[in-house]
Amino acid sequence: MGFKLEACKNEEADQKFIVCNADEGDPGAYSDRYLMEQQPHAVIFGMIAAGFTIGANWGIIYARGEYPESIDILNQEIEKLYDLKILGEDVMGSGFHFDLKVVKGLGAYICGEETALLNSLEGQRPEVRTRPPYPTQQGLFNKPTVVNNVETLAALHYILSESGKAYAGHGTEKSTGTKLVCLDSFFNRPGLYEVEMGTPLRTVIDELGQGFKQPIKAMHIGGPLGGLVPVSKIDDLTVDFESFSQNGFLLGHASVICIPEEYPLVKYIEHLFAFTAHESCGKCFPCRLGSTRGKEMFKKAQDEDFKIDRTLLDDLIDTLERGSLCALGGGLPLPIKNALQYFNDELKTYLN
Amino acid sequence: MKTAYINNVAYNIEEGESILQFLERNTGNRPPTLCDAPNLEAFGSCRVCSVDVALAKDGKAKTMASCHTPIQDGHYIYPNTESVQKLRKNIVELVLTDHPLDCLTCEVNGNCELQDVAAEVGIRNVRYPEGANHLDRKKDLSHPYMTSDMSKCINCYRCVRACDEVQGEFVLSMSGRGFDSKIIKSDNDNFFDSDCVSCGACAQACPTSAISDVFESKSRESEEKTRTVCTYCGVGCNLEVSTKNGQITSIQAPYEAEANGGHTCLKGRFAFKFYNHKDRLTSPLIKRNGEFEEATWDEAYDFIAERLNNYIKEDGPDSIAGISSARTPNEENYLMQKFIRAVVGTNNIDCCARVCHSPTALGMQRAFGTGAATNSIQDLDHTDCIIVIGANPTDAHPVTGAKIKQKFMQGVTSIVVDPRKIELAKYATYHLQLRPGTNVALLNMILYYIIAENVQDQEFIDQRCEDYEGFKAEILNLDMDEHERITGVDKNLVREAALAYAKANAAMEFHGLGVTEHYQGTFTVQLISDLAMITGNIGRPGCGVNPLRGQNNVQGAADMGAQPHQGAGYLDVTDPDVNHQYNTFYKSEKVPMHVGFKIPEMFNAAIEGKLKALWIIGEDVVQTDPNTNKVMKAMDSLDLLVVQELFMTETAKHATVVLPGASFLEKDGTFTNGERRIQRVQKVVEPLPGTKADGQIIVEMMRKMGYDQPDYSGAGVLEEVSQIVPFFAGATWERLGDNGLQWPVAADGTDSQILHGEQFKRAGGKGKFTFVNWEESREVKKHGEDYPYIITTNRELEHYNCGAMTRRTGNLDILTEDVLLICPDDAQKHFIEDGDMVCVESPRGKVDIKAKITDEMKPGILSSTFHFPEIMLNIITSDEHDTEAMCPEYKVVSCRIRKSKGKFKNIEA
Repeated sequence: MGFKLEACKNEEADQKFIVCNADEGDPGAYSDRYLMEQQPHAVIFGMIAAGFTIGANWGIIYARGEYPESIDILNQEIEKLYDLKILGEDVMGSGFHFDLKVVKGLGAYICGEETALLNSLEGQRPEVRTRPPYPTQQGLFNKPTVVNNVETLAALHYILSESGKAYAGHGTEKSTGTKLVCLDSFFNRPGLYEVEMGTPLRTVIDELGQGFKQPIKAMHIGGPLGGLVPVSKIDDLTVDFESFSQNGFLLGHASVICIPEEYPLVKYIEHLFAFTAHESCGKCFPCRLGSTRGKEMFKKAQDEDFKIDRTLLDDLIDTLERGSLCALGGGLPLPIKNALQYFNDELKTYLN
Repeated sequence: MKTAYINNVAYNIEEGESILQFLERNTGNRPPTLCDAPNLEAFGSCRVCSVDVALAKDGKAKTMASCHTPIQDGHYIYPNTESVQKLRKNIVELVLTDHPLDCLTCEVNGNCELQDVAAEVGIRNVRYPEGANHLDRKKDLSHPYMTSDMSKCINCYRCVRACDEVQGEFVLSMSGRGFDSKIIKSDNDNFFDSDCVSCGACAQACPTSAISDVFESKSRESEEKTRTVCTYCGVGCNLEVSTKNGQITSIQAPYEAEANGGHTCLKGRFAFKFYNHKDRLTSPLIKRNGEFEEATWDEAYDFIAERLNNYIKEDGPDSIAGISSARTPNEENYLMQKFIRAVVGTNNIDCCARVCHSPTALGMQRAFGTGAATNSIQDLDHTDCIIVIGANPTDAHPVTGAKIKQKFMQGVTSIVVDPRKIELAKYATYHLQLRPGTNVALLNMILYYIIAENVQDQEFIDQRCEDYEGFKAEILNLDMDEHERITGVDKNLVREAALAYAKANAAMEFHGLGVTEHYQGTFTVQLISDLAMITGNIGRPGCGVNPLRGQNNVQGAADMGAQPHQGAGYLDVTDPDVNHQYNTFYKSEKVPMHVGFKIPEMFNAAIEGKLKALWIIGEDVVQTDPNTNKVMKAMDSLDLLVVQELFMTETAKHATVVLPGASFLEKDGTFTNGERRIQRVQKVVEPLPGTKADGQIIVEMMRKMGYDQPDYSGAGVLEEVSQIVPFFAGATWERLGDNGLQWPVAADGTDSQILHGEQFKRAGGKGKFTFVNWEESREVKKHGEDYPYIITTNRELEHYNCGAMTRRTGNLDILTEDVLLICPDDAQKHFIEDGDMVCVESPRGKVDIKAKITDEMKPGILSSTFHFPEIMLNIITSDEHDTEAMCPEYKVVSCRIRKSKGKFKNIEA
């Protein structure tokens, strides 16, 4: 975040923006919702502080449309803060002018991608932009813009009041601070937990979640584009970016979705392709076409006497991964590759 | 110097280039791509141009799209690794899963970029099982020109980007998401009902035949291509015309053309079918007993020569006059004025510059010494303020208009001075919507605020100009409140705009006929010149005074001497030395030293019986010159009217002899565009049987009259021209090449993008300030009380001047008639509804015309066009004209209106 703020601060412009990406679209993730509804001041403070740092007079919270309570609460709190002169023309007598508004997203997953989000805010079709220029150079309405997620902005208060050093005292060397982890209803004690970075995954599952309600074969961690972690790998992982990355997974948003033992992975992969096909903006060729072709092949393999050509599947995955413009098409291959690696026995009957 | 590597070989980096541009520049090859195009911003949708990029020699590579990734110091580019080749092939394979494989019967077979890229990456089969596709999408054949077959669309967005970035029309867009996203036109699937302006940029940009045109311009069927220059306006678009078996099949715009960079408009691209229209005149005609009879060329020439010789003998050479055509090449204009001057022996030669930009030429000559644009269109890339006065370039100069509009949208400071809310006004920072006829008052307001606020460029004024102090004193005496009342424009708004113009680093001015076709037209041009000088906006990139010349070669026609006071090269005909020079060069003794008739004077002289014969080339004065009834009276008063034409125009109907000329597609020569660019017009097809190149007709007539002139050829006459017109000195046919040269062209071929860099061209080298006070138009003074409305004439995109050409093309299906633009308040006052016929009456006559209610107009002001002879709008226009250059006042016509029931037409045929 410091990198983005500094880059944006150094841009010369008559107007700058700070945008909060609160379009929490990953299935199984609800940490942003928690922060917006339970700790709205933390988020708003983060916005004001970030705006003050880069010289932005406008903050926009782009909130997921399916979170009406979050939007109501934020709006109520923003209104109160305007009354208290903590927002508006002269923030707490500092001379700093900061306006803040909440914009409701309309249900496109792709708007979680920051440049598509900016297009959406401009009233354009939410298509992913090429980079460079980066949003810090030409973002919203081509003005320097910092886009941060809710969790990052909410952490600012602690960092500013307790110091960056204090924040870095939590977590691991590279993944500092804490992480909000969302456990789904297959856990005995589902819910949201804040853990220090580096906490063993086993601890999260057994102690916080108190184990699974029924036999689970894998967990999809970090959203639909995160890795598919087989239960056999639980003991190898700690909740931090490096550990997940080194093991071929992705911590991402740290939402955990369990895949029950009896649920066929072929169907799960079909669903992942279908999800991407539905949410693809359609701009880049690999994602627009590849996600649909992948969905069709996995459906056909279940419904008909058809086996997927493994070379073709590998080519498709490679095309999506290397060719896609953004993380939607580019991220889809990870869980599929995990599935092919750890569940080959189950999947091989569908493959040639 | 920054360095990057291609396959480990070092190359220098140019600032700001992408990996793709870096590869193309250094190796001559660019990676295959489906979404990149030469005139569009990088977009990054197809991903086919991906290359491997490492940060160390043979280091770990990352695959990146080369079109939008900037090359950086120390990049190691591997453009064709096995993994990259595999990726490209796999992407194209995916594309082919949703594309018809009917290549053999496809319009673009052999000229399809998808086909080429598929071949280049080596696709042999599509391995995916058959799945969902869009092959059942229906063709759109709704439009006279544009077609689409979206089953062939590969979603590369090139058409959308061309519509946005090149034309700026925003008609095409992508609708829906993911696999089902598709191109829509406005909000539907149909070109005709959309806001499309038929520029064809999308069709040219489309890599397949998903969007094309009815002429199948992307088909390989017509292999023969000829480069030439458009005949429809002063932009001078280069065209690439395809032919097959001597017939024109289609037209495209070459990407590397400096004048138009791959773009053109619906007139240039599509409106060519007039050239072999069944209405073309194909035989000389002589009127006997009121009926035209076909004649041989010799009969016609003898008929004319006999009479001309007789008038010369009986009434003197000044009883003969010629009107040359600004639509024909320089060489033909040169020959026409030579014929009139050196063979007939009179300076009675003029051209349509009289009715359009004669005040520009005169006004700028007075201020700067040269009556031509000071800068180039390319300067738009260097300007940060644009002021457009009395011009509607998005209709009348569409390619330049589109460029200006793009700049407006990108946020340069923009000022529009126009009585109408024209398209550009909608994008402008300031729209000064003045009452027609008050340009001088408004410019004086702008000048007042610049001086009063002390934001003038004193250094430029002191060093480069003269007569400033007196000018300043006069300006400061003006009463701004009174001027606010005169112009009807809020003085504070004028002040803001004036300061914005003055404070810009480089401010560029464009003007059109809304400046010149006024009682004070020349004075307005002088004030515009004052404005440029007072702010130092002359002689540098991105500034200047830039008239948007009307007809395609109106600059050239004047350069060639088709005007009564100056001969070829603007030399003063009354100067004895010049007279000697002309007579010597023309090997004649006949060129006289007194100034000849301007067009309005010709008409008066004809009515008075002083003018016996008039020879008109390609100019429909009856339909397009003001006060039609008077023009017709003049035509009918002549003993001999020779009209050289393509069609039986309203003027030709009055002729004694009609000679069938040839269109620009049928002859060689050069046109000079509005930025002084002399460009080659190259014969695309042979003249229609029975017709001749107009230059050849003049040559044959010269010979008939005993003057020795070689057969017409563009290159041959150009050589002659270069010997007498000083600023054409180095302009040879070969040197002009594809993109032409901007005059002055020195003997060594060096041309000039910007004039007045060090010195003005006036004697003494200084620019001259002139103060002029505003004066009410005589038309309004005389008739304003009885005729309280003002009608101002304008142009529509689809038609050109009298419409003789464009009305014989598919453009007629797009715009079918002249209409009267009227504001809602005025319409209501007269109980006029949209589409009602309105009788518009002036002191000269009346016309019935269909109302179009629009907020483009202010109360009291009306507007219309004269593209259609069915309306003959010029019946009502006046013969008031500019006091200096005699340019008719088309822009201020006093009139009254009432709702009418029927259709009234006051033409005495």
